[in-house]
Amino acid sequence: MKLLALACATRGGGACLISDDAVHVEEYPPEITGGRGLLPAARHCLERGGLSARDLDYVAVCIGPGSFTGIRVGLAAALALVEASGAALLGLDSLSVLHHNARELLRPEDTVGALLGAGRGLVYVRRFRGGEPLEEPALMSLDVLLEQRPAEVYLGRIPESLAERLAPERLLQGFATLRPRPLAEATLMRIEDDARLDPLAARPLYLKRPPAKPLEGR
Amino acid sequence: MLILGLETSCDETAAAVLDTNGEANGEADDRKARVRSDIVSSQADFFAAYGGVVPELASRNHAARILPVVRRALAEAKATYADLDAVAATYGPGLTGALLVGLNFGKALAWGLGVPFVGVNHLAAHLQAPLLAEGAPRPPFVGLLVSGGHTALYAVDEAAERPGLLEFELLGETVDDAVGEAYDKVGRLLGVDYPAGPTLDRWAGEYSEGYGGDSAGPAEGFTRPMPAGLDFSFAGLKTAAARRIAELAAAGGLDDARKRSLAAGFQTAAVETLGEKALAACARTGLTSLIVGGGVAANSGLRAYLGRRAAEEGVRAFFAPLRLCTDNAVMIAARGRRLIESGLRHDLDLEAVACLELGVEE
Repeated sequence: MKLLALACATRGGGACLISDDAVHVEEYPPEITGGRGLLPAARHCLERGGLSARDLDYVAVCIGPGSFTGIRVGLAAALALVEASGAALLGLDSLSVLHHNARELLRPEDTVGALLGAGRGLVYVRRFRGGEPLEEPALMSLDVLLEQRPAEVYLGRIPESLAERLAPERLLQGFATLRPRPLAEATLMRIEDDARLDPLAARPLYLKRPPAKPLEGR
Repeated sequence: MLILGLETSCDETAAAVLDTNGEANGEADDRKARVRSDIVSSQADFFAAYGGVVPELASRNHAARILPVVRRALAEAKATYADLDAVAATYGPGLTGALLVGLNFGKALAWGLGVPFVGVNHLAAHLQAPLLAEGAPRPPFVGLLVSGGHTALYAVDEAAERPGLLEFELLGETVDDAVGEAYDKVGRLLGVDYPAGPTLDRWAGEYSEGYGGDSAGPAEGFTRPMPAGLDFSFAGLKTAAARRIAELAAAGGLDDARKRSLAAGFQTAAVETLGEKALAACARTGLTSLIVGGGVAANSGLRAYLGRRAAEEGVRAFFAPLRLCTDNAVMIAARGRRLIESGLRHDLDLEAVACLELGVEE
């Protein structure tokens, strides 16, 4: 089984190849854009694994939420790779990846909120308990988050304004970056569940619309 | 060579397959290249409701449309991915988020297939489009690029060390609005949906055919904007049209007939400016062929005026085929083919360049 994962939904990202028992990871730093760093990272992974794109069984991609541009770069690249290789397309939301990366530090009885800042006082959030998601990813303000999505622990990219309102022990630090290896591992676990995507129907998970509105009367 | 072209620089998601295998004696000749498919999924109707392109929404639409457009281009070409010899995609200028969709799809596809990839300058491709038609001139010539984003004149010739590859020397460009942008802004004031150029062109034609009779009044007279040298300026013309529209609207006189006389006056000023500047460029360079590309090259007023005036000046004017005036991927494939044949390849780290200038991609 050969799976290539493309993580491009936040600043910094990379690729991870799981080839049978071997794992190859190549990451690019936050100052490099996904458009510049993602595909070279993927190529490095395949070269180290001695594979070509046509050897792949699966291409996994983080579909968001996150950087609008980043998730489109990732999805466009993933779509083309599955077209070229005949591999199956897998997709997973970014909050599940953040949660998966921290899973060994989490208590199964705790409700955990995985967060990504969405700007303008908003956050993307998805809660988990015992490793399973409780709701779909959502976009909300911090006040609504604390009222409607309470959790024992929050992790991810946590806005300072939220950190100031929570006791330090409720913040799990060090899991703010969406990394390719947990994307690959988490997607692998969900191949038979909900991670398979029809390439023609695959869409980025934006959750937020731009402010532009149609003209009056349209 | 069977090359797939991809175009997503603004609000058209386009893919095309160009076949150059039928060229006589193996000699590269764009006029003999066979367009096996030419698919354009336009967002113009979508953005009519917004009065113009919203970059983030355009990018979202590209992400949703790129795969079905590419599959359809291959199906119409009766080709498979395995048949492709190369992939070319626009990498600038344009809307960054929009460019990134086609560019990253193209880079990944070429890498996955193990075929060459090249990024194409959208402006160069617009000036390649006229050369795909039968009877097109061979360089050198003057190139007039007219669209919603660009208005510029170039001296165009083959690159000295890379035969067949066009290279460009900028002669003049707009110092403010592009001519297509002025059309859109005036059109919006007249209640015309984006993109307004085709409707204003039609209205101008209807006026000249007598629409409204005497009630239309004389065609509105606007000063031809003629900045020094070979540069253009359309902001003043746009403002003058806007003032006249406001005057007529305030007086209750902006009926359908008046709108057509305004369109006729505006169009006359715009196309005469473009035409005379282009002919001045020919005179300055001593070149006797002129090619015209870009969305505004489809304008019937420009085609009629420049066709007549060029003949009077002993210049041969050649326009892009109507279907290849607006954004399309055939022109991207045509330009990409020339770049690849010249030995150029782009690596997987090629980024989108929103303000890419003509002539710097090579």
